[in-house]
Amino acid sequence: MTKHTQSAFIFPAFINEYPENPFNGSQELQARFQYLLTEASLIIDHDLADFDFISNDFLRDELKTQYLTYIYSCAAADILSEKKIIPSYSAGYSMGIYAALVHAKVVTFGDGLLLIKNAYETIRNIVQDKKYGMCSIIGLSRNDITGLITSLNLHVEITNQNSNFAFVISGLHCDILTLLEVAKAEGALHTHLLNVSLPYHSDYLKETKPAFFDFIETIRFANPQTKLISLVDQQIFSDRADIKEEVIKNLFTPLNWFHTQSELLRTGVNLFIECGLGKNLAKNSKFIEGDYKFSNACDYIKNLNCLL
Amino acid sequence: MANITENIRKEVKETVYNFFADECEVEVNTIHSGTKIIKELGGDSLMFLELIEIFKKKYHLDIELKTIGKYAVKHPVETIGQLIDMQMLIIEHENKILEFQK
Repeated sequence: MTKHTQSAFIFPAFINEYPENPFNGSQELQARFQYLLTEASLIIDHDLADFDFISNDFLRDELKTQYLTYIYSCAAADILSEKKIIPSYSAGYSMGIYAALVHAKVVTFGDGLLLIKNAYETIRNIVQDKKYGMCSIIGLSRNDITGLITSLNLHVEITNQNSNFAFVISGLHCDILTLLEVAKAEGALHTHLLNVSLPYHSDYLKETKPAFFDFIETIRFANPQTKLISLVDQQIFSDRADIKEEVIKNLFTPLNWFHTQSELLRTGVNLFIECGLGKNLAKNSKFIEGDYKFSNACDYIKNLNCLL
Repeated sequence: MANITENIRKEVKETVYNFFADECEVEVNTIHSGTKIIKELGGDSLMFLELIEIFKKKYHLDIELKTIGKYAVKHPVETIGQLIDMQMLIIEHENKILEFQK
């Protein structure tokens, strides 16, 4: 008997390095990416028109990296939709929320770009010249990390949980460095300073709320055509007003990817497709138990083409 | 805590070799004891964590990840051979691995 497949599209956050083979031989994905890149260059940033994965390096520019991640995610989801792969749910991991909104037809591609730009600029205005950062810690529990933060009175907070032993932390840059050092001594198997200068999803960004709220009010939101799941509290959205609120909260509220994937598994999802440049969530999924498959969009498109 | 038999040693070696061949998409016969996990195979910390979980389940090990982390700080692992040696120590000593310092 064929097992019924219920899928979810996952839109990841921006990456720290480009993959060696971003299109994995898929000309249609490459063409769609180029098309959206040109469109984005006309809407938001002329520099995007000259981007290619080999010669250009936008990785040092947080905003441009966010645009590229978003454009690639939208392109991958478009190709999957053209091939009639319709997910039961979609989820936006961190800034992946904007591509998830576009895929669910809540906002247009152009408005998604404007949301990214405004969110970034609003955050920049709030933090001003204070130096912030983010890091990931693998191998310690939430209690271990919280214990270190509390005992040293560090100005950082856990802002995402990827599994029982993988966490993302945001906060003051100097305290992030201290945490990395003590986490290693405490027995963390891996620590990594992320290539970002802003404390995404932390309480330090709470003051973004009024300005971002005002901007959101200028963007037309529609009800979603695919059910969206919140990474904040795992609520399923079907109403645009709730989604607006989620987009605002997304800037300054901790996420929990582990709980989100677990909730999707509970609802019956057994195929996850990561619509993004990396394979980080697919790799992370090995630490979340369940009977399911987790595939990268590019690989999934390639396999579909082999079957046709 | 297990007594390390020849069978266990063979099983651990096979598991490690097959795991990295599969994860890093390389032929198993290209891997040897001196192969550098990150530099030559493109391995990462999540693979290391996954391998630990495999052995924890396989041998019903009572060991905390942070104990392994503390041990690894003093005894960094770079090659496949070093990783196998460390896994053997974990299987043999479990949470008491920190008491067993080379």
